[in-house]
Formats: sequence, structure tokens, C-alpha cells
Amino acid sequence: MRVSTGIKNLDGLIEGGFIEKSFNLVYGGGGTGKTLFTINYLINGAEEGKNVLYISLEETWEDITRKLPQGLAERLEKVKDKFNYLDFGSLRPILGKEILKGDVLTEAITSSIVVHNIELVGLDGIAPLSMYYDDEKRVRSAIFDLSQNLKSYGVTTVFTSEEVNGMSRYGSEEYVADSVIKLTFDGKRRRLQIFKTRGSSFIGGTHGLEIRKDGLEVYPRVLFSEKKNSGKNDILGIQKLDNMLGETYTGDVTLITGPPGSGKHLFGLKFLKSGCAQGKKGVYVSFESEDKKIVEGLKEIKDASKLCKIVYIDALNTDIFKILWKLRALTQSANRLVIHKMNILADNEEYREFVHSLIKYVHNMGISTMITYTTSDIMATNVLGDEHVVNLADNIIKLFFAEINGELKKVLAIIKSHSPTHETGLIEYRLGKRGIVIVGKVEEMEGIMSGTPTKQLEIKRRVEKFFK
Amino acid sequence: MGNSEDKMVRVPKDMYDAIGDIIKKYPQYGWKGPSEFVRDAIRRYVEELKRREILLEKAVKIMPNRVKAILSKFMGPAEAEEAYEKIIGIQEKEPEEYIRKVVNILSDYVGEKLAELIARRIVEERENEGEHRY
Repeated sequence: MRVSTGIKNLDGLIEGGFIEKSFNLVYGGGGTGKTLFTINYLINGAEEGKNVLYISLEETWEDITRKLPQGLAERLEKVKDKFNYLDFGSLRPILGKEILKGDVLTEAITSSIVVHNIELVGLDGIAPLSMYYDDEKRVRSAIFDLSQNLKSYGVTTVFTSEEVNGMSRYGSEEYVADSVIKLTFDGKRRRLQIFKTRGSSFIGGTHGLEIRKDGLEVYPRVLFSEKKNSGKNDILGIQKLDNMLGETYTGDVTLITGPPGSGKHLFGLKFLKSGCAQGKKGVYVSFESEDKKIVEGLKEIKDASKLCKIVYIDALNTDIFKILWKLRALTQSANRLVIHKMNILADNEEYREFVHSLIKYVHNMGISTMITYTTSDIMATNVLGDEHVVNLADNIIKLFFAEINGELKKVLAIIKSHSPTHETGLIEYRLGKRGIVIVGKVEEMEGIMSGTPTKQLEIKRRVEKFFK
Repeated sequence: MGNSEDKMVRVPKDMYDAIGDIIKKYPQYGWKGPSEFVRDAIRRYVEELKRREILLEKAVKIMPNRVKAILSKFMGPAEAEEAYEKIIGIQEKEPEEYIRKVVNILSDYVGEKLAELIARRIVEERENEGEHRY
């Protein structure tokens, strides 16, 4: 049997929650959310109808409740009949350190467990135990005895400890615990890491964590999805370009990479428009400030308000894993997704994991996706911009500028496609009033990719013609 | 010198010798002999017992409210009120026995060891208060 952690998305990482009657450690530095984790766990249990017991060895209950986020405090108020507490923090100044003696603690806790028929226990902050036990071996022994006692009463416990030099405070809590979860906070990002779940598997790595008003939420570094069947010919919506690309499939990821002004957003818009024309739902996510061009562009589409959604995400101030899960939520019923200016996220050290999870997810869910990536090069170079998306994308289209006949023309190249027979020539395009217009292949020039085009091709053709 | 009403009390020889040693060691207390030492000791002990009795009586008087205040912080007002009602229902005049009954009631809520600690602390608080007044 499993007991829910009460923290959104965390149960899915540990096979459904804590094992019943287990002793589970949550540790981390100050301000990482250990107390809120414990209280969230207990409130959720109480909401499920269980009697719960919170034990504070350090802070007073008054201080804790005063600092609770509003939504969590409201949830607590609703289940206060099921929520019991033992506030050793307020008792210590009155009774002294004797109350921290193992048998005194155990007896007080187990008495409460029996009286209130407790099922879930949260034991918060074991650091004060060292005030009574001067020897760490004795602290360890006390923690072990306490864990055995609590297990014998059939309760499922979360206990917290502080992190010292990368380990839990006494270095032994991990061995006593059935599961170990570490919380970190670097001032900007909160992270949760699972180190151990005795008797079950878990999804490792570092996951995002957010303390919301109504409780904690985990943003796993991976997106859960079920594989759906994919279909052929999920076109981009630019007829000539689709022909040049060859076969496309539902769930394909197309990377449009190019410099500013090359019209990447119009490719995205056209992609959504073409979806709308087929009754497909689409989401346009911009990491840039609210994009008026897109809003105006979508207005032209019939039923766009019903089928398409434009979302702006402040990428610099939002946790990258939260963005991942937001994209998942946004695309629950969508068929098409456009992510504009992915490069804004690229400096994030967790970007690689983000890209892998996202692309795996859209592939599985059959959400055809277009990712635009702004490069700083104006003329063609051999750099595509985003190695992570490049590695996983199904189609790659590179946009760039070329000086042709003294004009700065827009040119695109299909770098990668499903179809082995995709167009390999360079295609000139322009941005017209009605979007992207494919002009045609740039046949008379050579050396465009190198940045110094010449008309040698014409000379070559004449020579070939002469010899024929 | 004693009078005809005085009674004899036996003490073991070891203790008698120890009394002699103490008298020699602390001449500043002015004990003239073992008998005066024993009289002084008994007087002090009786005073201590009386003081303790007064303290316990005082502690008993404040016990219900003090327990309620401590429990209220420790485990919430509802249980504190419940325990309070049980404590004020105790019909016992002997302070030691009264405190024992309070500990029994508290044990149901917080376990015997913590219950004893709480009761002891309330008595000690009275003691400290007395010392401060003195």
C-alpha cells in the first residue's frame, strides 16, 4: 500500500507515494521547504480523512502557522479536527532539554498516536536532539529507536533533518530511513532530488520544486506520456516548402533556425494557421514579450480564437522545469505547438534535459511542434544554433541572408528531413503581406553558404552546353 | 542542659562520629556538641518539610491553570481544556497525592515521563518564585 506524499507530481516519481508504515527522510539546508513539505504531507493526509500528527522539535507551532502560505493555512483550517500537533519547540524553554530524551519523546509521541488513532506522522527538525545527547552515536541510536517505535505503531512518517556537508545532519538518518529526499534552494531555483526508496524504484535526477500559496508542487525533469500513433503528412502549411521537405509526420519536431528578421515567427504562424484550417488545436508559446505580430496574425484565421492559444512565458524568471510542465498542461488537447525563440532558455544549465524531455513528450503525444531559434549570424554559417534540438529534431530548416545582385535576400536550406529525397538546393523566400512566399531555388549562384556567392554556375552551364 | 521532658534518640555510632567530625570542621556554626547539632538539624528539616508543604499547596492551587497553559501551547487548546476539566475534578487534599493524580491524567495525553516533567516543573517554578521573594 502507498501513502501519498501530498505533493503534486511527486508520487509519480516514487511509484505512487511512500510505502505504508515507512520512515522517510526529507533533508536540506535552511529555507529549502522541509517544514512545508512535512505540513503539506500531513494536510493532504487529513484531507483524505486520516488523523495526522505533526511534531516540532525546533520551531514553535505558533511561528510555523504564522509563516504558512495563505492557501496552505486555509487548507489546514479546514482539516484542523484531524490535524494534531506536539509542539516541543514551545515546551523546551519551560521544561528544558530533558524533553528531548529519547524515551520522553517516544512516550509522548506514541501516547498521542494511540489517543488520536494517528496514521501519518511528521517529525520536523531533529537537530535539537544533540542538545540532550552530546555524543552523535547516542543521537543515531535515539533516532533508530524512534523509527522502530513509530513503525511498530503502524504510522507512515516523514522526518526532517538539516543538511551538513552534503549529508543529513548526523550522517545516519539516510540509513535509518526507507526513503530519502533532498531539497535545495540556491536563492532562485528550488530543487528536489530522490536518493533512495527502499522496496521500489524512483525517477532520479534533479526535479523542480515550487512553494505555491496552496502547497508544494514538483516539476519532474521528465514529462510522463503515453505513446500515441503518429500519422503521415502533417504539413507545415507552406505548400512549396512542404513539397520540398518530403514526408512529414504527426509529432514531428521542426527546428527553424535563423537570424533576427528572417521571419521565423511567420513560419510558426503559418504552421498554426494550416493546423486551424484542418480543425487542429494549436498553442503558440513565446519566450519573448507579448507578441503583437502573432496576435494580429492569428486574428486573420477563421476560428482561431477557438482553436489557437497564444501564451507568453517569462522564461528568465520561471523555473525551466515549471516551463516544461506548463507546456505539457497547455498541450493536453493540442495538435500543434510552436515555441518561439527557444534560445532564450539555452543558457540554462538544465536546458539539455528540458529539450530531451519536451521532444520525447511531443513525439509520444503526436503533437507536431515547431521550434524557432534565433542565431546571431546574419549570413550563412555552418552553425545551426542549438545542438540539443538539432540532435533530436526531425526537420531542420536554416534561414539566413545572402547578398545576391547587391540585395540582401532571404534564403533557406533544408538541412534535415524524414525524406531522403528532400530538396537540397537553396531556396529564396520573401516575406509578403500574406506571409511567406517561396520564390524558388537560387540556381544561378554558387558559394552562398560560404557568404561570398558568385555566378560561376552560369559559366559552368555554358561550358557544359558548349561541350554537349 | 536538658530538662525532664527531653527524650533520648538513638543514632548509630558511625553517624555520631560523623557529627563530631562536622562540628570540628565547621566551628563557625557554633554547635556546642552532638546534641545541639542534632537539634539544629531536626529544626531545619522540619522547617524544610513545612516549606515544601506550603510550596506544594501553592503549586496545587495553580496546577490546573498552569497545566492548561502548557498543554495549550504543546498540543492545542481543545485537549488542554479537556485535561483541565479532569484536573479540577480531582477530590484530593493531600498535595503529594493530588500531584500524583494530575500526573496520571496527564500521562494519557503526553506519556508518563513528560507528565512527571511537567508536574515537577510547576512545583519548581513555585520554589524559584519563593526563593526570589526571600
